[in-house]
Amino acid sequence: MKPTAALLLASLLAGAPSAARAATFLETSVEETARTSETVVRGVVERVGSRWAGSRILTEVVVRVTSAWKGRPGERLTLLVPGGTVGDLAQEVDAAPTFEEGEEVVVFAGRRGHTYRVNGLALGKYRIEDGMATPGTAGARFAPRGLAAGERAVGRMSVVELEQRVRSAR
Amino acid sequence: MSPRTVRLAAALAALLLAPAARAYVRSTSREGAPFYWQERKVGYQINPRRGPSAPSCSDASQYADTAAIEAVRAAFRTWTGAVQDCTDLELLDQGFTDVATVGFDPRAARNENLVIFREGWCSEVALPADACWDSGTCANTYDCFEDALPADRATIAITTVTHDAHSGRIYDADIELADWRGQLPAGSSLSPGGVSTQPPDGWYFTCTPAAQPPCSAYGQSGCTYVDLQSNATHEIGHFIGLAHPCTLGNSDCNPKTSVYRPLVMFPAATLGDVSKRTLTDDDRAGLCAIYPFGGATWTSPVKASGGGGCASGGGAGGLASALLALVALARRGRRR
Repeated sequence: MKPTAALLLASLLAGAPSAARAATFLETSVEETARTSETVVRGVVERVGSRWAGSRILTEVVVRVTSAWKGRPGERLTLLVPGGTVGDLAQEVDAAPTFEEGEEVVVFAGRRGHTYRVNGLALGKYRIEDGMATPGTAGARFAPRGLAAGERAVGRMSVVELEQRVRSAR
Repeated sequence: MSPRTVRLAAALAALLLAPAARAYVRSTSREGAPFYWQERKVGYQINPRRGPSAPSCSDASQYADTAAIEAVRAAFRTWTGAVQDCTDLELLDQGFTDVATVGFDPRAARNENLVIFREGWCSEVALPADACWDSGTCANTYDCFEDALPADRATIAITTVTHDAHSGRIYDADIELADWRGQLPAGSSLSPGGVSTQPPDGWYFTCTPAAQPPCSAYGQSGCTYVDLQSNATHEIGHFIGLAHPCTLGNSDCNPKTSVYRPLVMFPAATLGDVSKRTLTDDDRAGLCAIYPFGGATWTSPVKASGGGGCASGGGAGGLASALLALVALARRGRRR
């Protein structure tokens, strides 16, 4: 392909649709999310399954734990997450994280009732890819505020940095 | 450089000078289907139950906070043909409801598109052993904002959209606002520059006619904090099927420098900001691309004809596209 044609083709591909996320969050630090979580794990999503709960769709996510950065979660962590797809109907809860089977993740979690939930919803889940951790807040909206000195806002960073910040959070 | 190239370069330069003109992005399902309402008349209902909170949101009427309700109504009107003449979308105020259930019942003849002020955190009204936590139904059971865990309180507003998983057609959309009940524990303050994300039972929405100095305490009058109308306007943009023009953390989405900052649909809100009550040209372009006046609703991933560019509406790549095309033209000019 001629270079000019390649450039023009690249220009057409530069825009791509994005998934819908719509919640508004107040800016939060990684450290604060870690401090208020019972457990923080790195793992792989084993199973995802949705069901109706009244008028809501909920999704149960099973994560096989490969490394516990905080707490003692055991070999597997089962999470309850708002939203999901049942048959032809899908319910998108914009504040909630989404999970895919086989995805490598870091999850900030805690128990409420008998189930684990993701702390901070979309703020508490990161996708790991090529050494980088990306939070599930791609479509979230933030209201900036001052964070504590030395702390970093929830956002894309290296897995190494994310782990360091979680482990050192007091 | 040939006259044709000069004209094209000028057109691209104009695009560069107005970078937000085609920044809008459609919301899509996980299968990539863009969201849309099939109907051009979409109703909504407000649950008006809301305790006294911000003085700017209150007045002496049947409902304590009619100014808050008017702020929501104004936010809906902003996205309709009544204000934007390029669309005939109507978002119809169908009055008040006492329904407090968010979600969708596929067996019901009718589901409300609900705007509700959730008052207080569920963690303060539902005991830890309450079964509602395991079933994810605390918010609907107790009409509270569901904060299963502490960091959930960083959420100011949530929109839940029920849609066809394959086509993207929207069947129902509900907006929950994490509202303050009006009770203030001793010693609580907003600490605008502070570090707390644990506000006393909800967020302090204000309804000032224009921007005021930032509030420093819950219940303070004559100040602006979380502007209700701006935040509602943004959420309703999602209600109709628009997403953010860029992703925070990406280089084109810096909250301090991004060219998309003025857009209502920009993914960052500033406490005390009231400017997002008004659509920019790009917000309007997105609305009218999906629901053009007298034209068919844009339901497919690719727009078949007319303006509006590709399925992304230009998206955040609209500016990048312009730059790359300009470079390509310049190279072609040099070869001649």
